[in-house]
Amino acid sequence: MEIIIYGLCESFVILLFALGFHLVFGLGGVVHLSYGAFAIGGAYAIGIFYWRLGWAPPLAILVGIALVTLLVFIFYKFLLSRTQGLMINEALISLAVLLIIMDVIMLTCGTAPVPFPNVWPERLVPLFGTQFELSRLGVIIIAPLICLGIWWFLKHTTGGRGMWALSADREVAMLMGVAPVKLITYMIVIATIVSMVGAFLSLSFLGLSPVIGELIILWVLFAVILGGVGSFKGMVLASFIIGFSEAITASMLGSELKLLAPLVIILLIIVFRPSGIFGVATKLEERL
Amino acid sequence: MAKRVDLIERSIYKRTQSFYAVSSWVEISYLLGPWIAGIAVAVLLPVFCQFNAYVLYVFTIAGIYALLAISWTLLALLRLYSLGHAMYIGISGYIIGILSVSVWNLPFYACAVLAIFGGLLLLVSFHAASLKVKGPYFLLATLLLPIMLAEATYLAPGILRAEEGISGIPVPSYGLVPPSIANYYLVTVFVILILIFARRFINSKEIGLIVRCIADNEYAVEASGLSVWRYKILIFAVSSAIGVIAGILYTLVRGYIGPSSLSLTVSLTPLLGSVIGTVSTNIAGAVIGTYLLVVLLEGLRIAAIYKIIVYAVIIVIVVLTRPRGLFHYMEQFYHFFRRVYE
Repeated sequence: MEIIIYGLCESFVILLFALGFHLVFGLGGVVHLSYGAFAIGGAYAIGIFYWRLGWAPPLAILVGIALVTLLVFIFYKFLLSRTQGLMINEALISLAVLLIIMDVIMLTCGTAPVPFPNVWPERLVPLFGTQFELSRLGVIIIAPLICLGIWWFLKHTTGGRGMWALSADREVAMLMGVAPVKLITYMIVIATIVSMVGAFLSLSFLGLSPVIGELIILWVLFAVILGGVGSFKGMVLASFIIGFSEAITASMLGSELKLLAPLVIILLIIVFRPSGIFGVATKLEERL
Repeated sequence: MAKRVDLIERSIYKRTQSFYAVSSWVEISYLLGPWIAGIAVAVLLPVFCQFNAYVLYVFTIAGIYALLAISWTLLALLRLYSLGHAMYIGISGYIIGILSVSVWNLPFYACAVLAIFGGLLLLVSFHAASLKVKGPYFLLATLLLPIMLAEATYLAPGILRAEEGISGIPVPSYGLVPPSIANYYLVTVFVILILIFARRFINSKEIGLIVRCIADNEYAVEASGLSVWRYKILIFAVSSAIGVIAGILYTLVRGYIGPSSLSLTVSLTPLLGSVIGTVSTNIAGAVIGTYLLVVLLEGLRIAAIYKIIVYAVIIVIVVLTRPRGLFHYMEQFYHFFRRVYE
């Protein structure tokens, strides 16, 4: 029972982070490798406002989100979109920005964990004979709602349908009046806000340290590759596979080795089905 | 008043593109001059710096990264961009570390031979498994590999020594070249030169043409009755072999292998060197770019704790403002002269 609750919680945390990356990389095709770094940088900004400057948690959270959103907007508008979709240059610039953010974090806060404002009252809830933190149960309740919200947004708004069109065929979408850079700018802002929501729901029990930034980018890469790039249901399924395999490995081998099972699963997927579980984009190419 | 700049070809450049170059020493030396000058500077560097161990160490490491950059450009020829070249160093280094320190005490040359075969086997079998992977998928798959190996070191802390890494790898006590940093430097230079000339040989052969075709259109190559699979494996094997040699030299020069050798910065350096050096898959450009980058990185030690930030800012500026690579501008400077209108 404990494994099921912990696995669910882990899966929903991964899902929250993967949603934003799905918008940017899965649908928009932008190799935005600094995604996790921005989320963790924003969390650090919130932590500093709260812990060093002594602001009230709601103010710290709002200002933190606004600041990071602005930074991501500047980053995409003035750096990433200038590469004109050249994949290797996109990857290089976003990795360079990742290095900068991680280094600034190390210089200002060091590698030790930093206290993060808890949005939930610290209380243990008895469930099925064991005690769980309220924050973990909160993630299990809120994450599906956000996921449904993004799903609705993608299906029923002009912007969301534009993203589907871009992922299906970029040229035809542009002929139909979709402006890729403008649309992806909106999407990258939305993705950042979603990832920040994920961060402040989950960091109160994950703990805030630079390692989490690397963990986030690994998680989202796993989820998007495993599910198939551009597939929403694939991403959801992949988050659950990764979350539960992590929870099971952590309970069997200890929490330092919890990434091992997902890594093996990813390797098998790359070997036998590179397009992922529900990927259709490259199915034809796989015949060769 | 805005300036306008015209680039005009030197007439000697036009003439030396054909048989005229053979007919006169001036034109032959115009073509061969940069090569001879470059090779002379590279070979005579130990003399210029008066066998200063630190300078030679920096240039040896730069040469090893240049080897990795050559291996990277070979994969880039297939339009496969790898983000995990630290894996090549990691595999060969850990094989040597296991054989010579943590499990057995084999002499260095035996370890090196076993590392070449073992590393090739592992890397080629990985690449063979990931043959279908293309584009951003390849980028991500290779990004995960060094992380996977670093994670695996925790599985066998007795053999792979987890975080500390394996130190005290012995240097060869006998052999063709006595172990000194000047000799290691010359070995890297000669390997790079051999590869540069070997690449010119490959370019003019059928295989170069076929590989370019595979990058453009696999179906067309397959339809012509050629096995895409065979040529891809061949390129992977050559690229892995160069990477493994670089890994052996790296382990030998540093005497240490550990998770820090598998970090992202190690993977990024050869890639950045190639991108800074040249936009096409020109080996000489990649080598020059990598040497510049590593020496620059070493010079950034004066920036102390801000080193990584300065490095990353330089990456962003170069990628955005010189998308065609520095080698292209050097060629332009040599072959063209500029006329400026006011």
